[in-house]
Amino acid sequence: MGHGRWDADSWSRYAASHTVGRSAQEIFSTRAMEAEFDPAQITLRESRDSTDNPASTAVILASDVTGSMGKIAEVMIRSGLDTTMREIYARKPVSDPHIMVMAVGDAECDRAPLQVTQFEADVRLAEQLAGLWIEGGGGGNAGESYHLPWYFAATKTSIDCFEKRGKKGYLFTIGDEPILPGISRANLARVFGEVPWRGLTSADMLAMASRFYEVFHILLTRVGYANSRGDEVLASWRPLLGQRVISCDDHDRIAEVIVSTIEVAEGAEPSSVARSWSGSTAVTVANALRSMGGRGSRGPTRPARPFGGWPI
Amino acid sequence: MSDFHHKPPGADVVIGAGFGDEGKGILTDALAARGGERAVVIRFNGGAQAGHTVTLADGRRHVFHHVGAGAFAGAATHLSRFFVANPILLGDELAALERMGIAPRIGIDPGAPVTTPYDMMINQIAERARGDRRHGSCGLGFGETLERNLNPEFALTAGQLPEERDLRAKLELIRTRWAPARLAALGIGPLPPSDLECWRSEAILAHWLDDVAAFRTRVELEPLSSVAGAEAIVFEGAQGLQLDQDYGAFPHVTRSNTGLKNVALLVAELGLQRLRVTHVTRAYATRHGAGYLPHERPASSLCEAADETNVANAWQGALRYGALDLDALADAIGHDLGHARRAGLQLTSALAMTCLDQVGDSIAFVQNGRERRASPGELAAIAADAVRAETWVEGWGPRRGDLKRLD
Repeated sequence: MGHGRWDADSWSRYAASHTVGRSAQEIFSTRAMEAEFDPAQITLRESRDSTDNPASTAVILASDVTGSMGKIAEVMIRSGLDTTMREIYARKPVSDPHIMVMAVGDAECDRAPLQVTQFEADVRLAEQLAGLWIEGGGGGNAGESYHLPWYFAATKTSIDCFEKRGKKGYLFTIGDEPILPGISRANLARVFGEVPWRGLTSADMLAMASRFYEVFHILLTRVGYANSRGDEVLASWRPLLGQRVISCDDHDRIAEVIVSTIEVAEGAEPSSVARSWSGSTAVTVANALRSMGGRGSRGPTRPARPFGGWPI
Repeated sequence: MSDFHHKPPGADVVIGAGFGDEGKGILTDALAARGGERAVVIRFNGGAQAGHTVTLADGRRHVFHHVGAGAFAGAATHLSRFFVANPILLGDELAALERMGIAPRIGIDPGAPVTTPYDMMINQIAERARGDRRHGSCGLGFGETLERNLNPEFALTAGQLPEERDLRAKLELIRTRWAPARLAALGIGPLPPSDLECWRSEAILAHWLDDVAAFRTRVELEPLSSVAGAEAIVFEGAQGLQLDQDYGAFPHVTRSNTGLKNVALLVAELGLQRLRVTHVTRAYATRHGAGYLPHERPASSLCEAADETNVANAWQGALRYGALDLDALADAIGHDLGHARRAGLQLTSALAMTCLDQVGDSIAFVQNGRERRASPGELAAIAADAVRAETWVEGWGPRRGDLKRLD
């Protein structure tokens, strides 16, 4: 016993402390990037087969944490990706999923444009999610550095699914803005801690990542930038990813959309995948999968090369 | 894999023998320290209204409410399905622990009920309406949460938080459909403006949704079986046997089984073979809140120390004191152990008597209906004999090292 100090004053304080912005932030007191998530200080992230996970599959979820996403950025990292992670572990659209989460910003203006967790085979990943810093940056440069996860995946991950079994991992970026066309040599050096011989275009980095990963982008169409200028956003993405730009009209259904996308990429029928969800979720998933080319009974769409081979 | 070469797994159980405030925290801390970071403390009843104090040798002190009292010792916490979770209070407690450099691992059974702000408000409004016939409730909505969770339509458990995509809609449903019906059932008329303001506050609702998001990130959903590999398992009881919903004197009881009933169910699921049950009492009786307290008298006639944990509060009033009644103690403990043994539990029993350092050279107690006096050391031995405990532990101060005869 001996707690019980909750009264009218407590409620006033509780209500007031919310309006002045006490939020999850107070518990998740991160105010700068933790060293363990700094890509410049990471040599290699590994996804390895083990007794418990004999057929591991690497899955990377990279979410935009810039200001244009507003409160959604935090919700996405703390809650959306948490749910997605649990959904993937539970529904296993691929064998033995090993999940890595990235927080993505803007290489041209942010202090921490990219943060990277470990690959994890279970919900221990949640602890790392709590440690990611929501910088809330981004700039007026009409785009974010969604290509940073591609570069990291290509140069600083080592995954058994591909190296031992020739099966690619999955890499999802999630956000509301156009993708910046590329990154300067100086910014590459700043973010990744190594000096490359030149800057790279987004297409370069996509090509690098696509050797080892099936790459998708989830475009949040009802959020921030995309909500007002959806066509402009889509125009920056389509030439790169074609059908692999997945439009998602409800950010609360991100988990289902990602799991469904993987299932379809693994050969499932889009219409039956959509039907496996209930109510409005089924509609959101069906809309999202539409771009993957599965209409009605048209065969499985394993869009490994949906728009011709990418340069390697 | 065979466990053949291992000794059968066992566990400790810490249960209050009185009305709460017995010293369960210090004993839980000492037992958990044996397993360190491989220990797990299981909360098997009650909720965040518990207040279990642990004081470290370096002076750091914390009153554990939601987190198991083994956290200073490095133990993880498992909140069982019999524990009522309160996201508002957990956040505050974790922040307090974090300031002391403690970040406990916490898991929760998906079946554990979750308290909403409206359960707390109903509890407070109802308790206030009782005037001087208060039940001695903490105002934290513990009983109201259980009442609401009896109705599937309005139930909310830890496992439903991630599923419940539209938590806000669920909360609105509880506020607009469940709460008015419940208040009416309690015979409560129109609410005064101050209550209505709370009731309709968007900020409270939004803050709670944030707290739940934080709760979900910080607390892992895990089945009971996840504690199986622990080096030391400590079942930490809340409240005391005299407040048990079936054994205590209604209506001044808590809505939970404070003794071995829940433990017996969990132990069977875990397949634990050996159980050591320690019932805890102070050298004198205390009671927080309204209700029967035998041999009540001023604190100054029994002990020297003011109690730091139990500051008087609007809901429960000040802490009350009485002479320890060994007949009542033996009756309560015998009742608890008898049930457990009939349920097939293999156990050894111990008695822990705390606050022996506070009572001076001798203290009054009651046995066979007669008041007697004894030195504190004698009293511990007499009491262990009276309750037929196989061994006993003496608490001579607030810290782990102050426990004597702990084998």
